[in-house]
Amino acid sequence: MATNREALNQQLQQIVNSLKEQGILDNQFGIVHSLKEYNSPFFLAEMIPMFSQNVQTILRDLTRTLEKEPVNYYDLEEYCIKLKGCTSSIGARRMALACVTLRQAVDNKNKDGCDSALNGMRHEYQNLQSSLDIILELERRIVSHQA
Amino acid sequence: MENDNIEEMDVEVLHSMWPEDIGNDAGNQFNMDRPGADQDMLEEHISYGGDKRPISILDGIYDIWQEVPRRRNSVVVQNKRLEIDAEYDTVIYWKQRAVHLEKLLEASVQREHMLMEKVQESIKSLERQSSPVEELSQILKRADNFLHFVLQNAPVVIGHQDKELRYRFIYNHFPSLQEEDIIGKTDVEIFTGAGVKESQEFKKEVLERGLPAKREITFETELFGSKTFLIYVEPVFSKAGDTIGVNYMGMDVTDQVRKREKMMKIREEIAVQKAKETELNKTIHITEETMRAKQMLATMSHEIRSPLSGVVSIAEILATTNLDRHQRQLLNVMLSSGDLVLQLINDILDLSKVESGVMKLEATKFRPREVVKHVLQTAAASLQKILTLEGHVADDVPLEVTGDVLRIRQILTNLISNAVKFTHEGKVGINLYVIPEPSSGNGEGGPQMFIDDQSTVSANIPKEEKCLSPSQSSCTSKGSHTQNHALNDEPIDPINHDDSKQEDKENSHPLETTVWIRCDVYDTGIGIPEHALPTLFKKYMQVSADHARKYGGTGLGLAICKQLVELMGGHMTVSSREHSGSTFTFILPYKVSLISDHSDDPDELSDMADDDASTDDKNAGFFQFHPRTLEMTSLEDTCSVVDAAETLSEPESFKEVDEMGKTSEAPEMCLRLEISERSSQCTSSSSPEEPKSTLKPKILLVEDSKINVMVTQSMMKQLGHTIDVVNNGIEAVRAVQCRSYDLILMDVCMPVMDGLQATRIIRSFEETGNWDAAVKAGIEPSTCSSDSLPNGHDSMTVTKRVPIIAMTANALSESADECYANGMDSFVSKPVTFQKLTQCLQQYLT
Repeated sequence: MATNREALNQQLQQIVNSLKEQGILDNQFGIVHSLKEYNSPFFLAEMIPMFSQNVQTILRDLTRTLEKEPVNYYDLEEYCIKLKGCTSSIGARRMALACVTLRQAVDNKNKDGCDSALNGMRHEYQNLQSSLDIILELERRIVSHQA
Repeated sequence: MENDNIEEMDVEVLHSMWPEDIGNDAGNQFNMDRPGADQDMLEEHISYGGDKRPISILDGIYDIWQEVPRRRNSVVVQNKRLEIDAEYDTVIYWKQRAVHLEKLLEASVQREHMLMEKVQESIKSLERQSSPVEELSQILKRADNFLHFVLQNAPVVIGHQDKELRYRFIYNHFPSLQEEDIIGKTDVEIFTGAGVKESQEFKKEVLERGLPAKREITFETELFGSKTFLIYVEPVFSKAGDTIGVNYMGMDVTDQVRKREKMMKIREEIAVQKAKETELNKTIHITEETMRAKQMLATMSHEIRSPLSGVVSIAEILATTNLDRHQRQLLNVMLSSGDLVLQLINDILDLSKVESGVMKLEATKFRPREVVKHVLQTAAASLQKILTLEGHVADDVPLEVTGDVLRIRQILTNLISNAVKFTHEGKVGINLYVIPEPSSGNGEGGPQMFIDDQSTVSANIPKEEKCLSPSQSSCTSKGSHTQNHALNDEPIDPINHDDSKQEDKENSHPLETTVWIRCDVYDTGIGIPEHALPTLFKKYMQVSADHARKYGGTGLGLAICKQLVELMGGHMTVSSREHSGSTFTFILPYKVSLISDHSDDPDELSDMADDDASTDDKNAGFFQFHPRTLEMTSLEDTCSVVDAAETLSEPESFKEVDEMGKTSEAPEMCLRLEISERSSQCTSSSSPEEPKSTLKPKILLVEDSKINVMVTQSMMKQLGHTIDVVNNGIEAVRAVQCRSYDLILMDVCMPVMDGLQATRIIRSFEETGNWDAAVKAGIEPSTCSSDSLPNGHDSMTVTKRVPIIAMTANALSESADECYANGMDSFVSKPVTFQKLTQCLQQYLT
């Protein structure tokens, strides 16, 4: 049983490493992951869905705001900050970078720029989400093994 | 007549060694080479052995007499018979007979007379004539003389040996030998040594074969040393055909042999040289071709670069337009490929410029510390990993040196970017320090000209003039320096020189010296395997194919660095340990001007791009940068100001306190920061000392993002603190109203009420003691049950100030400026890390 968990852990680690190499995640993710040792074992397993939900909400809000005329750049800015905050906290590097791009477009009040940045962000999120799903699955299995 | 005589003579034939068909008949007649002309006389001359050459025959007979006139047998002599008429025995018979006989007698007597007269005549004439013997002996003498002359004076040894190879005759023998030493003896009996036996054998061979032959024999004898002789031996036959001996001739050809050998050697050498020449020509040809190809490559790269930049620019513009996801993906690929190709072309151009020697080195004064700092700053700005960048410049590195700053920056940037690329955790750093001049020759010709040691420098003054000119010639690319010195009239201070630790090798020139500075760029990265080290600096070499795939790059960077370093007269090396890290080292000479700098120039302070614009920091030798966690990659000006400051100040404020001797700067910094328009984290101790609480510190987290709450809370838990959490500014104020906190972590961007406003309200309460500001903002005065310290309506005259730390996602509106303006004490940029939290706690909860 223990070895099974180890194998799962290893697998998880491999995925995380590969994501790190691609730049999708950075070390912050590892730190967050390790937090579960001091907190609850379900830490990561809870965090990931929360994160996903968070991001999806913000993305929705962003899209909606951009579609409105005239564009409310102030709101956009706020959403940007929010998104940046949570993506950087979990260690989703590429997404955070995409936030930067969006932020710039917002500052420039460049609607087209915002659109493309948002597209980029969505793209990054999709990339990340699929990997996060796998990680979540593994994490759940690991945790269940522990229990 | 003489001629006739000679023609008729059959003298012993002496064969000439010269070709037979040369020479006119008159000359040839002495040679007797072709006795065929007088074949009738030499009818006994028979060739033996089928050889057409006449072989010498010793005739037993010397026909030297002239031919005796033959008896004339054709003359008939009449036999006169007397015919008498009388009868036999009568008187008349006898009378007649007597008369007849008387007549006959008379005739006879007459004849006798006549004959006697003739004889007398002949005798007289004969007497008058010289006797043939005399003539012949004269001729013989002449011939003999000539023979002797030839024999004696020809540079040949001539001899005749018998069947047993004993010498019968010898001419021109070696002077130290006497005739009696030779005649009757064989070669081997006369002298010994290498070659003697050989020549004897050779003669025997000729004897046996019966054919003349020649051979070159090298002798090594005590008699005449080492000589090479060409000997010609021919057998002598008797008329009967027996071999009775040999004639032999030996010529000293030692010199000729030597010359011949030399000639051969020379011919060999010439052949070798010709081969070399052809090779060299080929090489030259190839080199020319290569140069041309390189030039073409450079030109083409230039040509390619412009349209390619155009493509990339347009692609970038395209990126700002409305594109769907698929299009954007494609465009990103385009952009990254384009960038890569541009980079590659630039590298190629650089490399070919360096290699073709076209690159001109600049010589500008610059400050090494600045350069190091800038390079690290730039790297930190684009750093996407958690790495520590540090730079350390030794104290003895001069403030200002002369060199090609652009190239040096290029090298450093390249090395740092390599280090960062291959390091995933830990640190990357630059170490700069002075070293004594490397003993293994230096690239500069200049310093070599001066063998003066330090002691002579102090007595330098009279040498000054002499020094100027050599140093001028030594400054090949550093012309600016010599001008400086020409203008400088200051007397040389010998103490300066002696004390200066920088000068290990000095120019005689008093005002300028060369300093060798070593730069180590180290990292704690993946390292380089040993087998890859030798080819590391070669062009297009990567450590392995895997590496190339994983990490990208073209493999040109290190080659360029090495070329540049060597072009500047330096040297580059690398040392590494796999999985542990690598260190790239290069040493370069720099010229240093010893004229004291006006280091307190106030103008320079404002020039500095960062806020370390004090005399202290010009000498500051240590820098550290942490990654600006996930910050913007491209910066607008205002952004960069803030961010650069944040980069610097954040770690500095954390780090500098730890550094030796720099804690004193903390208050200084704070002071400066208040004045300076740049933002910087204030590490001032102006926050009032809080009474040490024995109770657990109460920490409030104001954060709207659930994720961040989770993370921060967990981290705090791990650090051993429990925290209260609220989700917006209003709740934060309420919380403060109810409870006093030792530390507040305030997110800036929040809905309902942001962190700035909340802070303002809290501060106003601290300052005024009432919550009017809160009421103004719409917060009803709370009716919370107060526990320890009610910050309720009844204010205490002295309210302690709670440290409020801003948590920013680093956006413009969250500029540190505003934070401080609104009353915040410090800020932490997201994401929150253990490090940051720990620092905060340490700082504000002591």
